[in-house]
Amino acid sequence: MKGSNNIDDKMFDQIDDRVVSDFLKHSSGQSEFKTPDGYFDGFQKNVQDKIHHNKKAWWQLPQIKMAVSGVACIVAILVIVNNMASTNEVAQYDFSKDELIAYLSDNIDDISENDIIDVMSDADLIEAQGFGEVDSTQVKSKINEEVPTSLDDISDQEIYEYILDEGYEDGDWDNL
Amino acid sequence: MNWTDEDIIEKIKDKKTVDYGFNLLMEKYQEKVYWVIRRMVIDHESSDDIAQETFVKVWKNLDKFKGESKLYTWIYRIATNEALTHLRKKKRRFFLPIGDLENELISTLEADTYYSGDEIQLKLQRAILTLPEKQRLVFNMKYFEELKFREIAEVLEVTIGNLKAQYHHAVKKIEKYLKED
Repeated sequence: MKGSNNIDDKMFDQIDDRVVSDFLKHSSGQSEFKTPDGYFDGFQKNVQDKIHHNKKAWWQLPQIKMAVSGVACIVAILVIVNNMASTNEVAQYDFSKDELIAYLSDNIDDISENDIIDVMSDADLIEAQGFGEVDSTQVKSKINEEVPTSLDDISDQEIYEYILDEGYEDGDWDNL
Repeated sequence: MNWTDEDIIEKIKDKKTVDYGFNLLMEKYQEKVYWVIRRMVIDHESSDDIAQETFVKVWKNLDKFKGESKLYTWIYRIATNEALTHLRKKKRRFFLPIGDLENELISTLEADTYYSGDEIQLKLQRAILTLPEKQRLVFNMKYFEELKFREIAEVLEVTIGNLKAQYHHAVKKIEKYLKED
């Protein structure tokens, strides 16, 4: 079987190679590609130089490089996170009084009383309500008591008095 | 002394003689490797770089060579891969379409100071450069390096049938080119 394959190979080679060989029989027959003189004499030295030049110091090893890169990444992330945290802190308190007043004036309709109470400090609440030194939870509950949550909590008498205070006459009520 | 691959491998496996073994390996294969590469990438400078890089890779991977394939097969495989990678990089670097790489290589050949082919040889080289990379590689290894189909099949890790078909197509295309031009 192997023998028959070899015969096939030879026949195949001869048929195909003949095309090129016939064409080349009129050429000079010399090798057309050249190398600089003595090129192969110095080849081994060039390769050896390249190998020794490429030999890496321990700090250039991939494992060491990866470990150092990993530590550097972790340090960088910690620094960034730390900076972001302190930036937020600064941002929270970095408004001037005038800026706050201007912001509140522009957006007062969007802020409910409960929102304001929620963010006020105990001291602010005491000062705003004229209370003495009391527990802040008591203050908040007191304020919540005084702020009606629905119209059902307001009596007709209170509504009547409010409308008169606002300058409406009896006849205007139907147009409200 | 004519060292066999087995002798060279034996020297390489021994830590005391590894350098000597590697020098024997280079001595035996440097020219063969160079010419396979040269016929693919055409110019001497690139061929020199790739041939050196091939042996640097051989050196770095000596411990990975388990002897499952023959030594020359393994070295030729590294060399041909390096040459094909170089050509692909060249194509990408210059955004060259397939046909333009062929023209680029023909220009390189004509300008190469280390090429001294006559008109007939130049015409044959032009014809060979019209072939797809793999066919060109098969043709060069078979016709110029005179490797056997079995050996080429081991290097390129393809079947002998596939190789014969590729070689046949390559010769037909060259024949057509030579007759037309």
